[in-house]
Amino acid sequence: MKRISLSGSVVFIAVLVIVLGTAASAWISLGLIKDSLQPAQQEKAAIVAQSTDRLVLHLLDQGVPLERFGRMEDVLSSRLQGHADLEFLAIYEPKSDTLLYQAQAGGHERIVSQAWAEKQFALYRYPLMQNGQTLAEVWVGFDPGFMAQVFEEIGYDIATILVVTLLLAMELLMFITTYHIKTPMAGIHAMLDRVAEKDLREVVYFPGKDELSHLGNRVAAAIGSMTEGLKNVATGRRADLGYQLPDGSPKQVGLARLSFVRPPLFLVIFSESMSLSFFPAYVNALYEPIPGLSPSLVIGLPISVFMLVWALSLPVAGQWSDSVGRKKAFMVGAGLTAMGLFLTAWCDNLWQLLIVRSITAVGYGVVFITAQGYVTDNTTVENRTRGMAMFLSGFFSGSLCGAAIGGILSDRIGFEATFILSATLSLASAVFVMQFFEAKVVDPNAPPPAVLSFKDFTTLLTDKYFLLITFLSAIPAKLLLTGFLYYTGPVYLNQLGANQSSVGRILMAYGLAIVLISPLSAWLGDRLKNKTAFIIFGGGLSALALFAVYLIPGVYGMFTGVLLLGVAHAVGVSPQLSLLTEKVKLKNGLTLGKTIGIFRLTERIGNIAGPLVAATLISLLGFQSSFLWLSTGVATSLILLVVLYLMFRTMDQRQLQEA
Amino acid sequence: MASVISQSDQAKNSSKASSLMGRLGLTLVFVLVFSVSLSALLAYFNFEKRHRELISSRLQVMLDEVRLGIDYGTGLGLPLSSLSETGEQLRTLVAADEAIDKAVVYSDQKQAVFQAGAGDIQTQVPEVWFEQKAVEVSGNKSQLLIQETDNYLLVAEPLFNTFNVQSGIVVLAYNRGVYQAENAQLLKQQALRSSLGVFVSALVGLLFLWMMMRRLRKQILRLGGNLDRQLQGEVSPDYSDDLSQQPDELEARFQLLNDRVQEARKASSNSDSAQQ
Repeated sequence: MKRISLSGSVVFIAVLVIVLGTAASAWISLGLIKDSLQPAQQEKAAIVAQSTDRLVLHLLDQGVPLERFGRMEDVLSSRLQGHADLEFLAIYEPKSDTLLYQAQAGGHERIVSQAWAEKQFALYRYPLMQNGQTLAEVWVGFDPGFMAQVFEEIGYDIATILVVTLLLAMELLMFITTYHIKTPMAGIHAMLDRVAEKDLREVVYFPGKDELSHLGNRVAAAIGSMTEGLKNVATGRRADLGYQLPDGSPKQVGLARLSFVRPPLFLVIFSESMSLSFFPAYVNALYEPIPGLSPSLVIGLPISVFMLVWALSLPVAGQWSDSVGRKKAFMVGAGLTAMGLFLTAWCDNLWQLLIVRSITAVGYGVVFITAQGYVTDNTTVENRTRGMAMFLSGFFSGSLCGAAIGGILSDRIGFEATFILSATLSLASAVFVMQFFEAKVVDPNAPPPAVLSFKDFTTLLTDKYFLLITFLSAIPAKLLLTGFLYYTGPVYLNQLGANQSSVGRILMAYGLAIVLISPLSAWLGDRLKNKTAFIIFGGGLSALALFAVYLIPGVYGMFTGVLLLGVAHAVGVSPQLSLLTEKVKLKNGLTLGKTIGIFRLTERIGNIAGPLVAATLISLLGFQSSFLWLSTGVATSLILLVVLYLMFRTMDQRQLQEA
Repeated sequence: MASVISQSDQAKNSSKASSLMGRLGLTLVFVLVFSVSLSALLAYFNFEKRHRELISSRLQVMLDEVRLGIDYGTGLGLPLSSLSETGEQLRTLVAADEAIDKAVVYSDQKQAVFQAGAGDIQTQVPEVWFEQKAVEVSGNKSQLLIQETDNYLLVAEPLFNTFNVQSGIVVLAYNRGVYQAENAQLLKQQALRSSLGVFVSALVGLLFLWMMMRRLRKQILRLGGNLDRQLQGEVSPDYSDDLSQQPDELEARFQLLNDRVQEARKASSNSDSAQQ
């Protein structure tokens, strides 16, 4: 059995300590909050009793006897209205041991005794005094489950905070440990692998000053020494030994820096997602009527414009990023995003908002496509799925954390300050890139950057594999993302009576599944080298997710569906681009950057169509049947994908044999 | 040829060796402090919100009392300004809770019709509170409006006449300092306990890290030392301290590197002797 490496153990210990330490702290916070809020119900009961006291004493002062108050139960009943927790208010006369007047909310039966009242409610009793004598008692009854529900909600909120905090901490920890341990270790392993294969042409340069870097540089020195020694050996004997030697000294290469893209990507996505939870409310504050458009459509307009500009920016941004290099492109993208977010805080009207959201969308698009380009640049066909999964989990981790923390912060510091903070974070990502990314080395002999043309689109849109992957796998996945998760999810859950934080928590299951499962699935994908199987499995699971919501109506069914969809996308989405870059032939001046850009643009059809398709189905068939139809649609596209893929593969093999 | 390790190099390496442990230890403590602080701070924000909601809910009971009295009077056709009992009610509320600094009933013209308590809150009452529309849910017209200002938690209910047109608003100004003191108390307790949690977790984490890093450091120094000795011409470096323990993947690969270096040296020396 393979032993866990020491460096792996170090990371494991750090993760364990942070998870346990933070979980313990969250548990302590929950206990303190419960203790602080516990007396709130009693304080409110006292206020209700005092208020009732004043009313009764006023009537007694008017000379009305206690047992002759007219419409008193209506008055008591009006005191219960508008309070979700208050369920019972009564005036009890100890002398006659009777409840003179009582009012109830929530359809309870009339209470006839104290024991019964105590059984039904969290009951508080206060004496009603007149001239120093207890004349009656005011009974205030609360829904016994109300405070328990409040504490349960707080518990869920704190658990959500814990998950988000841990994700953030893990991002930070993973980067630092990758930088200090994993990357140098990988460099040492890469050199030792090459030595095992008798390839001495390259050594890795370790710029660090710690002992791992020092060891790496010693290995490089050893390889240099071997090279020098072997060069003295007679040519014939050297050939017998089978070493591949450089012409001069071994070429020095830098450390693999794939994971360096994750922190800045996380930061930009985090900063942009900070406004997700309150953005409609922010737009609402700037609302102004637009003739011919309904208010809900006007409020949705900035989001639609953002999606459209983002989608349109992708191909151009991809091509530009290819030509200027990832460092410059990322910095400009992050800078534009920061500018857009900063200006969003200062918008006075809807039109300004539309303009600044477009600026943000362009920056976001540049960052998105540049990060993907970076992954493609730093991976090979063998490990690209893993690279894309890292990209995807960074994206969703940032989105999940940003939305959760942005919601809490906006409540505390306001919308404007939250936008300014998110702009600062986006700028921080540009600074990170400036520090850690390497500038593009300009090769004077390199051909000029290719310009995106109509021909590129026609080339790709006539490529059978591009069409297959895009239209039968990528677009259905994006359609489900926006149509099922972003649109139907909140609407359906609200209809079921779930509150906003419950909706948020259920939808969070999708992001969590992506973050946790996609690295594992990608690792498996790279090992098994069967991207198609993963895409098919993901597609099948997507259909099953929707079928589960159809089979189990209600909150639990929706949770199951969201979770399964997250798993399905974690498994099936990353291999799409890997398979695409592997299968699509780069001809007629088509570059990798352009291919990715056009692919990302085309799959946005799913993003845009998702809410429209879902809304139409729901209005025609209702929720449950819509889930069934969506599930059937996804299953049909999957069957078509499998049949056509097998057909194309057979055709390709036949062509190869004929050639 | 790679340089031979001298005594001073060994000392230098030793100090370099501790740098990785230092950096990782610092990282662990930093991420732990960050994670625990963020979790505690966000939990505190959640508490603040819940606390505010519960206080507002309590104040709503008082507002209901005033509003129902006014609704009763105006329902009989009396003008708002003639309901002198309302002033008395406001004074009772301010006297009943010392955290309530001010209680005011404003007309739809934003004039204070009745008030009790000290200070002026008119400028702090949002304009939009005078533009409310009646939303009646099963005979209940109660609508709670909440706004935090620098000094007050303003909680209000709009007043509607029998035609469901807003006739005014009843506002309570609750002193923020009072509940902020309660919040600060919780924050202080949280800070104390979280610090203790961080301290204990960091201690345990650093201890484990030190134990793991000691092994890793020893392994790295041994591998590096072996490599240097080998380049010096010494033979059969030992790649495992403990023979009963199976060498890990890294050690096995270094063993292979050793074999290759030996092979290259042997080939090179054979070639030299053949030339001589």
